[in-house]
Amino acid sequence: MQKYIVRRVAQALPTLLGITLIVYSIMLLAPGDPVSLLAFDPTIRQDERERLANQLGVNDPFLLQYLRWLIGDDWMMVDTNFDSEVDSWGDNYGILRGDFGKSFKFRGSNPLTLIGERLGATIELNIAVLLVGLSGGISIGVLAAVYRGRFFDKFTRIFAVIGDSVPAFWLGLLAIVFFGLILPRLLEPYGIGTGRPILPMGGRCPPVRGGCPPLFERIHYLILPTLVSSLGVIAVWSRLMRASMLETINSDYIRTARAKGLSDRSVWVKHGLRNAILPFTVFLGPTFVGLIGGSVIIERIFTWPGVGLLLLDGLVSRDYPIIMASVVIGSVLTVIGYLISDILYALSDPRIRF
Amino acid sequence: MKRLLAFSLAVCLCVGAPLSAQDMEAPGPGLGGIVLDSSTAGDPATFNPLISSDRASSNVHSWLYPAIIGVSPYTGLEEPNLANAMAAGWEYDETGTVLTVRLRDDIAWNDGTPITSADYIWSVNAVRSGQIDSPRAGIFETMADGTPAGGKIVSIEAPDDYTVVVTFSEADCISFSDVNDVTPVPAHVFSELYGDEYAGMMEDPRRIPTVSFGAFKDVEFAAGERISLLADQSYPDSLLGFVSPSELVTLQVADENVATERFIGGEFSILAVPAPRQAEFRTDEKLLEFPRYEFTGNGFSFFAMNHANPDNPQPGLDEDGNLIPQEPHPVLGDILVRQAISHAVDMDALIEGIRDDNGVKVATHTIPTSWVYNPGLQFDYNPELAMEKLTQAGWIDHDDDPATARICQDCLFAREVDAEFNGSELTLDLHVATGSEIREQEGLFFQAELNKVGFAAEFAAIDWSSAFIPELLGQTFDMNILAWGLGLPVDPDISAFYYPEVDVPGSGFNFVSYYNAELIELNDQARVVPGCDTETRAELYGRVQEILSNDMPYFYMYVSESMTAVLPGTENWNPTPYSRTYSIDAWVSPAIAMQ
Amino acid sequence: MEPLERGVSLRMRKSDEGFRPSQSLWGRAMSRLRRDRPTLAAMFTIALLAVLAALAPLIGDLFGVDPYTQDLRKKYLEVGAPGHPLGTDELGRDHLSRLLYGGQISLGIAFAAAILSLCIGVAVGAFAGFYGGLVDDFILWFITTLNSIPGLFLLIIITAVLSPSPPAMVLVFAIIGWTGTTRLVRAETYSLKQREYVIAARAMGASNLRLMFIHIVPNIFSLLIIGLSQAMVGLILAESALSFIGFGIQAPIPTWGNMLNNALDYMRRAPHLMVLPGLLISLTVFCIYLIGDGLRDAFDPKTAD
Repeated sequence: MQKYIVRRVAQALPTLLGITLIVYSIMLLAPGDPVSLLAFDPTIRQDERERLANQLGVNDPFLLQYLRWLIGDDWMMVDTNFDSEVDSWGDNYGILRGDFGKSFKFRGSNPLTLIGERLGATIELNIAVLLVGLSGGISIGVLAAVYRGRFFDKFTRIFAVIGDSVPAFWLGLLAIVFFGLILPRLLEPYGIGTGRPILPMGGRCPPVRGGCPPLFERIHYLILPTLVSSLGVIAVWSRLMRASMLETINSDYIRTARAKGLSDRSVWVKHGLRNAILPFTVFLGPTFVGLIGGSVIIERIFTWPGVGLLLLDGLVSRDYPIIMASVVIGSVLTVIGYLISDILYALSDPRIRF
Repeated sequence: MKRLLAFSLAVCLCVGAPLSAQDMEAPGPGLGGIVLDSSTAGDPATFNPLISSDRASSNVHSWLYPAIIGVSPYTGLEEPNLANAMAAGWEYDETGTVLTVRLRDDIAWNDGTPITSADYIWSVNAVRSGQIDSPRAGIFETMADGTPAGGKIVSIEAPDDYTVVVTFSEADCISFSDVNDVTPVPAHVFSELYGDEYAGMMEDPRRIPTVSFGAFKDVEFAAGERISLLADQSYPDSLLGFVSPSELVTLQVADENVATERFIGGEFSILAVPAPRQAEFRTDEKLLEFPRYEFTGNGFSFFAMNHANPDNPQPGLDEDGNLIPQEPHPVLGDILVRQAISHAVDMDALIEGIRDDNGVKVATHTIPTSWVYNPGLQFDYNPELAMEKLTQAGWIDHDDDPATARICQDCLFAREVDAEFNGSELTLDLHVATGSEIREQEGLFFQAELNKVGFAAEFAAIDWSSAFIPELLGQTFDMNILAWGLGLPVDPDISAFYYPEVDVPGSGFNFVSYYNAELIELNDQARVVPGCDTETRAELYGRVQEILSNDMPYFYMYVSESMTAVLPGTENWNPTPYSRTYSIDAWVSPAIAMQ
Repeated sequence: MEPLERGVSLRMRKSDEGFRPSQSLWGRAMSRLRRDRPTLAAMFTIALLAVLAALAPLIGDLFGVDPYTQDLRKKYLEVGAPGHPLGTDELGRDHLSRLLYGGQISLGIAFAAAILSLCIGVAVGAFAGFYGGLVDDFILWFITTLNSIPGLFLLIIITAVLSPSPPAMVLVFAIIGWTGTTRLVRAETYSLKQREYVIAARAMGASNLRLMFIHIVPNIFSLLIIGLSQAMVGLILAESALSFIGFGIQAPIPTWGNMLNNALDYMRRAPHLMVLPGLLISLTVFCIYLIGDGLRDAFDPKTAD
């Protein structure tokens, strides 16, 4: 097992390298330059712009820029006063050593610090979505398989597909308006509530001083974004689960178990469910990836202060260090997600030998 | 030096003149509830006013630091003895180059240290040192090490604790406001932190200020979420003698529509109503209960027209400072065509139809509430006249169908540059930046109006940073629509926009390549009027506006109106044209729907 | 969708699949589909939407409207207004006509991008599966890498820096979306090329290209169709999500995504502007889901007749 994990981690390294290469290439494709945005102000003079452009190293060949970004340039002499002669040691450490450069917009702040401030929020939301989505999806899928062809099956299948068919931002806004404005006003005449929003219409914490309270005291802030975001997960997983359950039910050993006289329930739970869950550990990785990407939309509509919002902020102000750091960190999370799901799969499937 | 925020029509938040507080009542210090504001501007980049350049940051700074010279929330002009400002008065010497500012001696930082000229001088030295990445260094003639910085301030000195003497390289009425570009910081705190190593400020841009001056203090910052400030009862300039709200929280909201809905749901105390939603607050019965304040915004939208050939952008001056003759724009180089455009577009219909009547038509580069505004100017909507002028300019309607493109027959470009241009169609590109629904609608409207009189205008919304700015500053555009947000104080100088010096492809702001010797002469005169006499200057600027609205470097469109709404039951809300939060320290805010 | 419940289970062993003549698989699938009413209804709906979108100019002529003509005196007209069956938008442009033209772009982009990514996927996958070795390793590495960047992140940064036009958007979508198909095709090719008939064909001198596209691709065609439907679903939703954050197709070109996003500003004044494009997106996605499910059931040898 250890060997497998080591091998699997080793396999992730070229992937990570590839990610940096792809991300860097896209950024270089960008027309225009960050200088034009930073300098949209008559008070910035032409020589300032050139200094800025040189500082960003946008005039070097691609491979050199990429290497400098990756491994830094503190081991080589660079040209700091732009007279085309190298004159002093570089001062970048490269992203491999945690130096993603300095944010343009946030006056030189370290992108990793900025992401660090927000990573918790993104992970918190995604874990909540995974929990709700998986438990909802799996139980609906299993029940639908058990009650195959009956009303529950038909209803949930249609419902799951509908839930995944609606654009998330539209659903999010509708949910905000419904729980914040429409429902409270409907309920007020009956003496229920005060006409104030039933659920918070956005944000992650109550807007009071003293930092964010522990999760259980602000769980209501999590409800709407989690619901909207987990609908897709429920849709996909209930369908997967139902199909896989049906396949297992029809397999020989379940029939044998039934023939042995085991009660329906214990057959379902012991054999059916266990075997049906197995292949799904494979889908955990992709689900996680989808969530990290989708969090940009969910975070924006609910102002959930996560990495997705930071990425959007960075894109709007062409803050390349922030953009690249967000994408690289998001990808690293994804790779870790895949790793975990692979290892879980290996652990749970006795057929895999090490 | 005024800072221009393109696309932002936000007005500066300045706490202003001590108004008679007789009509205001509040339960007591810190008993006025919590004020919750929303912001779509993102996280502030820094809490250090010397290195900040973004709106989110300056919004916070306005609560924490005084200005050297206050700007009135009513007039948008500098006045002595304003709240939250240091200056008690000022005068120029007889040469007009030495400005002596007398400071108030009755204000102190909230740790008890008096606010003196030393605080301002420390900031000045830091900005001028060149060690920090400050966008404000351009106000000085030279940096501390002697390198030229392009500004007009030669020196700033403090003969005593309550006097500041500013020396300018020449008499200049405009440079007066440059003094305000440097924000005083508590020198005793900053010098202890950084000493003379000003560069140290760049290392911790997010340092939370411990000592401040203003109605609020004690920043608590949660990334991506909120900035919370507590009432500072030691603030001497409060309207009631105390600060009524206990706390001011600015919550981030990523989406404007969500912000509006949350405000309606009672989650915010105050909302800068986004333009597309303003009509609802005027007409929707449910929303009429929200008190609102509408005022002319401090900025204008315009339709820029490139005068020079976009295929061959040239700087205005050569290295020796001589004018470089520019090839005219094939279409827009002709003043008749530009004037025809002003007659072809029904601006009233645009304002009424697209902006829901939320705008005031202008024909100059100043806003109607400004002291220099020339009310006699306007562009007339008259499509027949537009077509006549086009014909006159050599753009003829060859098939008697106004909907098809006219063609050049002896138009300006064919006469002066290339005779083969005869027969070319009247085609132009019209671009706006993506991200604003209203701007896109305006672009479509312009396109439709122009095409009615025989243009073949192509419209596209293009990305702001990767396409719009490069094209604009690179001077390769034909026409586009954007807006200037004007700074405070209100000042009509045009040297940053219509001088040949700033016609520099790639960076200059005379991107339309327009200059007029008479205009420059008038503007230069207005800058050196003895004693900066307002009447004389207003007369000169009135003439400037006449020339501008005739030559049409821009087709000046409108000044949009801003709307601010507050929760029903908010007391002592007394907004002014230049500050929607004036009187905030007296507010009594209803309880917020907090979960 | 579930009429096949109590029939005799006609299960096949996995290893049998390759030997069954594909004709019969198709025949069975078709006869199943004919009985699958929800899938048929979904197919009909999508076909109807596609035809309506394709006929947008004709329908526009019929009502005397087009998607670009503005009339500021007639803005926010409601559904059923004379001359404008579905009302008008914030510039007084005809909403029906815009929805149809928007459908052209939205459906067109999704369909073209799905087909293109399918083609890339099949070509690369068959190539990798057939040649194996270093080529395969490289392709697999590239796919793993691309899949490890959260899809929407990748899409957002590419569209943000390039601000693509509709044809460019198709390319962007395709370039991001081909990896799933490739994995599928690669795996199938791997297993199929061991089969006797492929080996036999090869022995008879068939070229690699011929083998790939005559013998291997048709065998996994059903899987590809299902993949295609899933890709389209993702693409339609991605297009609207991009519009929401401001990096989608830009005005004046209407798409369902940017119409929905613009309408959020007017959701109180003109709810139909928001409801209709939203419904069309959801309906389309819903139908394509149903079609995908139906096709899967129809082609699945394990479901009973």
